[in-house]
Amino acid sequence: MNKSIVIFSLLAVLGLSACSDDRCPVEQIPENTFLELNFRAEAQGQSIWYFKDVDYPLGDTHIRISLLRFFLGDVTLLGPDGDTTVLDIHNVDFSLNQSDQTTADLGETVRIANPPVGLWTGIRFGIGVPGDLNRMSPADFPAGHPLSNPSEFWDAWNSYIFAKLEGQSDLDGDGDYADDNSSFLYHSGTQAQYVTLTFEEPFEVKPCQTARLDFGLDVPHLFYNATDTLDLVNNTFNHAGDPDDPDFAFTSFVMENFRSAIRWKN
Amino acid sequence: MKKSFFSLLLLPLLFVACGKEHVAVCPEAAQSLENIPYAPVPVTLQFPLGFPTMPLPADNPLTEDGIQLGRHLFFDKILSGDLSMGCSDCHQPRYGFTDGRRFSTGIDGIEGHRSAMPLMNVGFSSEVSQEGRNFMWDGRFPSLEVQALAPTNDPIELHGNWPDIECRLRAHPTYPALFRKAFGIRSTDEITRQLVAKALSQFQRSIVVGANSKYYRAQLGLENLTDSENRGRMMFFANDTTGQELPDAECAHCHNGSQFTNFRFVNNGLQPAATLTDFLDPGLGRINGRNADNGKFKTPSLWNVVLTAPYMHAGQFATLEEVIDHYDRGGQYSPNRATELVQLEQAPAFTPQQKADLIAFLHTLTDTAYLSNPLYTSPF
Repeated sequence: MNKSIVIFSLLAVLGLSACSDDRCPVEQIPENTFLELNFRAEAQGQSIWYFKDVDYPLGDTHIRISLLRFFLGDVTLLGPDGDTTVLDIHNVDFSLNQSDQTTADLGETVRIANPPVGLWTGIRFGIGVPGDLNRMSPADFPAGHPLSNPSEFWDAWNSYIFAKLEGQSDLDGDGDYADDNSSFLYHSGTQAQYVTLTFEEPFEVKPCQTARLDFGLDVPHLFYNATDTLDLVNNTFNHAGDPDDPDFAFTSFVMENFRSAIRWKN
Repeated sequence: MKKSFFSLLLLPLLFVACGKEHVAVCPEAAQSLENIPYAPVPVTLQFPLGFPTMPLPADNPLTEDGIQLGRHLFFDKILSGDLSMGCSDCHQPRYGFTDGRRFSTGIDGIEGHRSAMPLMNVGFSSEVSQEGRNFMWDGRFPSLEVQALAPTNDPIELHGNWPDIECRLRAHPTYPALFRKAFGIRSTDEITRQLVAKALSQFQRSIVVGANSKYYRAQLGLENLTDSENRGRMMFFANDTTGQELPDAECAHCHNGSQFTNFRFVNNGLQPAATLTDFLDPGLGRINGRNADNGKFKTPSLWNVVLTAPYMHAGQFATLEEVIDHYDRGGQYSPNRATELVQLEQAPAFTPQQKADLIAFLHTLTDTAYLSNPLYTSPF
């Protein structure tokens, strides 16, 4: 008697597991299906966190990051039968995973509920705020919305600040940041600086499961491209979203570098 | 010998009892309140154009009676251990709901180590900052309702204890009816500290200023800023549209938006620190345990800033002139000092006229119409 109860219970448990794995009831899909995009700040393939000493790609200079955030806009799944936008906007802010290697290894995860299930051929997203949303301002959004915080809006540009990259430089690489007292700040914004990235890599979203896509954000790569590297002595403070601003080229440079800095890791 | 030892131990206790301790006696039996009408009238706050929507908790909607109860509790001394102080002693309307002192002093005469925060437009702070760190200079409380419970228990503030205060309120001749009207409770034993906190929160959320300020009226085209105020505005927002080559005062990086705050925590160079662990007062870092957040404090709104001296979390500056001088110098070195301050440190100093222009602009953020609103006066 007891044996049959145990066997029955085991079979029931196995049956339930099979149901949730392979035969997810349609009505449960919206609540139980997710797509996660994970962004991990890195340097040379290793995770980095706020105030972690990092080699700068020029001379003996070292840097450490004190602020890194960017807006992720119009996350769109690419498919043979058409594309589907699954997320309008998200503020990817590394301030929450900044303290040490353990937390930095976790990266920043953007969790999207109820993405359409199926096989997708790739993913596209923007760095910045898409035009339709960027025509609005923080007062247009309820508290808690990614675009509600005035900290991310710049009145003089009438635009959100698409990305913020701040930190300090140890220019002579002697390990002492205080003696240089050198900081950098690159705040980019306005529609001309919106950058779109496309990754043509197949992935599958299965019903009642979480599909996870991992991206590495190589932070030093934000400072250089194939031909140029930002000058941390003369161009350290660039807060420019106006194309007429002489600093605009530098903040655009950082935005463009997101293209090569963000890498598909799956 | 043993007896005399115990007598000695009891002596200080007797002194305390003869001093400021007032032990409330709870009513023996709860009194029914159901004969008092409960007809809550919802309140919809009217915000100036451009202000955000104020987040309101679903379990504490604003009502006329809720706000009135909060007003009574705010100005009453009943929430303190010895009935000598109330919220309004450290948050006086005439000082922009601060107390005009560097450090606030509680009922036992003990001075704290932080300056009283202004409460104007405080309701906009809810659920804005990361991780629910919304209230107090160091972000220790996630909501107004949680914050409102703290001063009564704090030994350097109102130094009371909640069971006693609940008894006082239940036995009080008028409060039970006010609680009934505000929250629909059926008997006096339903008067709790949580309802006190809700009422205080409702009252604080009702304190919204700005619409009667010169700056706001100028935004609407109803008034003109003077040349000096306008230059200050352009420096403040880094928006020189006149070609005068005014310097960027870097203010708007933190004091942005309709509330003149980013609702975040910033190290604005008040404490020198060679490393992230050298701050005397770690602020947010002490609360969340992150070294990178040491030395950071909440950015306050600048509405009515001329009323809220002294300035900063520890009242470091007596005047706005001292504040401007501090930022002009860029503050003191620490690894996580706001990057904008390093820029100010390395930029040419503001001229006396530029400093005067910034201060003239800050004066345009003054809206004292609330001082003549009976809601913000003591009902006692």
